[in-house]
Amino acid sequence: MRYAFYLGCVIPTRLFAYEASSRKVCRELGIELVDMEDYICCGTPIEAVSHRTWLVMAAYNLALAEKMGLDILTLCNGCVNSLKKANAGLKEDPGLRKEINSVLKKFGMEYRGRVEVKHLIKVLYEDVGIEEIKKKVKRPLTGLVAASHVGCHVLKPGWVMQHDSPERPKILDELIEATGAKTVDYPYKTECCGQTLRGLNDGISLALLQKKLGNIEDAKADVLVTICPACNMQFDMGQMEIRQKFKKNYDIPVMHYPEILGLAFGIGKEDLGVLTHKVKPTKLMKELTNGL
Amino acid sequence: MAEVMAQVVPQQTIKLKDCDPNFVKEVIKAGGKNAHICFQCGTCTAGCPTVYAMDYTPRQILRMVNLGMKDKVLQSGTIWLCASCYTCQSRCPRGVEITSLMGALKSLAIKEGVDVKNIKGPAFYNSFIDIAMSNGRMFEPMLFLKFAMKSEGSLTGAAKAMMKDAPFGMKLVMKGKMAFVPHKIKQSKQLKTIYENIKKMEGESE
Ligand code: SF4
Ligand code: SF4
Repeated sequence: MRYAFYLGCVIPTRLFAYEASSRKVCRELGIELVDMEDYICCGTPIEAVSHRTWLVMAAYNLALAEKMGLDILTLCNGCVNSLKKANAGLKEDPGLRKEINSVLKKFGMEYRGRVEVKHLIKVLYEDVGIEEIKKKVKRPLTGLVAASHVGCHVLKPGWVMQHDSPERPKILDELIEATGAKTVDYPYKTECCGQTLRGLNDGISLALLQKKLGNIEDAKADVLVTICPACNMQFDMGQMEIRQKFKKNYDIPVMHYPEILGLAFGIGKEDLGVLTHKVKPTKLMKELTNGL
Repeated sequence: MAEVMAQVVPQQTIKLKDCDPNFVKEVIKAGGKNAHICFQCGTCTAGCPTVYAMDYTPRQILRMVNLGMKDKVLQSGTIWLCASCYTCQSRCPRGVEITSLMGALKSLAIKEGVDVKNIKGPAFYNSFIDIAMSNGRMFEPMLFLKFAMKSEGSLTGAAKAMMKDAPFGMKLVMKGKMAFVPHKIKQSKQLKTIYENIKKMEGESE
């Protein structure tokens, strides 16, 4: 299990815990992450403004991985969506491929469609498998009730992403349960968290967020588990904003899946960056360690 | 959240002379694949999380695109309210790439210089391009500044807008949640030319 590790823009600058915990659990499971030097932005936010520029940016990164001879592993829903969509589009359209390659040539690069792109979660589920993960669990998170938010971009459009069922995803919940925790369902589980409207329309962004948080609160979850930097920031920092603006305190800790997995593997919370979140999982951590 | 139904557009006469028959082709070229085969089932509208705030529903936008109602579509607030959640695109029985189409409409609105009051979309996207193209990667503090400059139209306006967000931004920096120095990739100089090249390419193929 050897992958070209594509970190994207947000994780290395803002989400230390996600990067650190991912590297730690991958090492534990024998997944070798080869850092991609000089990768560029995956192009996602540019897709809307210039379809062609987005394709070139995504193809640039795919070509970089081709040079390394490795499939790509990424931690971000936005990146996996961009790279997979571009990969599929370029593979099926030779004309488009030629057009994009004429630009890539200026960088000494060529896209040939030789690599695949996977989210960490898919690698854990398919390459490693639930049974192997269970074998590594040293401190089962018994008693922990988790709600999951998979996020839109890794799931949809379903026929391109081929990740999980876009309407009733189950991979993340199964992976959470492998740690010994329980999962709960809640209404509108697959609906958007609102992050993509940040800066464009904060009012609607927050309305979408509150709808999600209200449902998660009603489900009585101890923690919300995410697998995307954008969703994570929306849920975590968004709660702070809601507290200031609407005087409503949800107090739901939001953690990246590999943090939860790392805790179950017995990795220290400092090494996983567990306390870097805005909504502190203090109570949760206490309960978990008491149970030891 | 208030359950507001999408506005019902009053019956109106569509004047063919105001329509642009080539509009749908233009939209498809900009990324709205399969727009022409929409059969108006409304699946897209039914699952859209932000439809309650839109002036036209996604289904209506598709109809208007096919009728060539270019001005109305490009001036619509809908395209800036799409959260790019891909729910519609995932469910559309005709394989219309609706999310990408909303993006295509944004790009056309920016290109046509459509000025929609109180909509920050164009400034936001243009700021993004500036930064990604000069650094190769996204860098948020710079995005805030550029965006503020563009949407406020002046340095003083930008400074005021930034001040409002500054405490939050500073807290993030101190928490180590936002880097202070942007990462610049080696190829960044060449990357700048990518965008210019493509703009030229897009211009030529019209
Ligand atoms: S779901 Fe597809 S076919 Fe149905 S109205 Fe929307 S775009 Fe048209
Ligand atoms: S992608 Fe946009 S238009 Fe489609 S369902 Fe989501 S918010 Fe609505």
